[in-house]
Amino acid sequence: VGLTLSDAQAQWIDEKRAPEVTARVESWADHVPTSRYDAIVSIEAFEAFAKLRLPADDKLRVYRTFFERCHDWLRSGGRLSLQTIAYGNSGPEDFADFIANDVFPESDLPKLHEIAEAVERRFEVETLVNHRDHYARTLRCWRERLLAARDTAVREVGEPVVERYEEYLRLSEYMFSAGTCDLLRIGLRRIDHPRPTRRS
Amino acid sequence: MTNKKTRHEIEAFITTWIARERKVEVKEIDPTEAFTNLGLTSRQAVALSGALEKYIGQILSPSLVWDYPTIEQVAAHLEKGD
Repeated sequence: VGLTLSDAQAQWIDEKRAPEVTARVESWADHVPTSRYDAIVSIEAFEAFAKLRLPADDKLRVYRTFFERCHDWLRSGGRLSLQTIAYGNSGPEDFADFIANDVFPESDLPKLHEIAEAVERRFEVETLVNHRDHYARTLRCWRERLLAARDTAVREVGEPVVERYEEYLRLSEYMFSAGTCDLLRIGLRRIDHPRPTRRS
Repeated sequence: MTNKKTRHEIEAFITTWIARERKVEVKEIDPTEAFTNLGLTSRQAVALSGALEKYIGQILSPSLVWDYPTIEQVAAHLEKGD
């Protein structure tokens, strides 16, 4: 079962005619599984869970809700693999207005400690890697391809859109190569018997 | 599509570009001064790497200005063409 908010993505998956995969245009918040899952893989969705300028407590509550849902949907010992961009050597105040307002106006990134706090007593961390260099390379490849096909792109969408896109790719490559942004890949294991939190 | 430029041409290009961005006279820009002291924001520094790409016709790292922190050093690096 795959969840996406994009009609185009769901259609693309359906056209692959992989009968074992069902794509649904549905938010995780509305999802009701028919049976428990062995594993959940969440790729590049976490960034959009918290809106920019959400108070810290509310942000943590949104993250916590997501992990509690995943906990409910998994069988005993189930795994959750989470891939998300996170603030590295930065915070929301450091972001260029262009990225915050023009490119991702709806989203705020997590910090690693917020994820760690939100999974507490629901999941244990088994693996944690930061692959920000992978994204720097990906963004460079996209920019090289755009440059190679620049005339076609300008004909289709016009010079200003191409320039904005180039600026976005260039700034993003800078953020990942400089470590302003991290790419976290976290392997989590369900805690089957969470101990209740005791008040001291 | 590489468009070979000399160190002096590149220095002149960067100096003029920064002077225009910062709305100051070209003679006020010291090519041996660190970019951070020339009053560029991160976004402007990344935009400068984009302007340089067009000027010399070669794809460049957006971190160029951090890797080579003065106008002189960027120009010397780009003249070598590696």
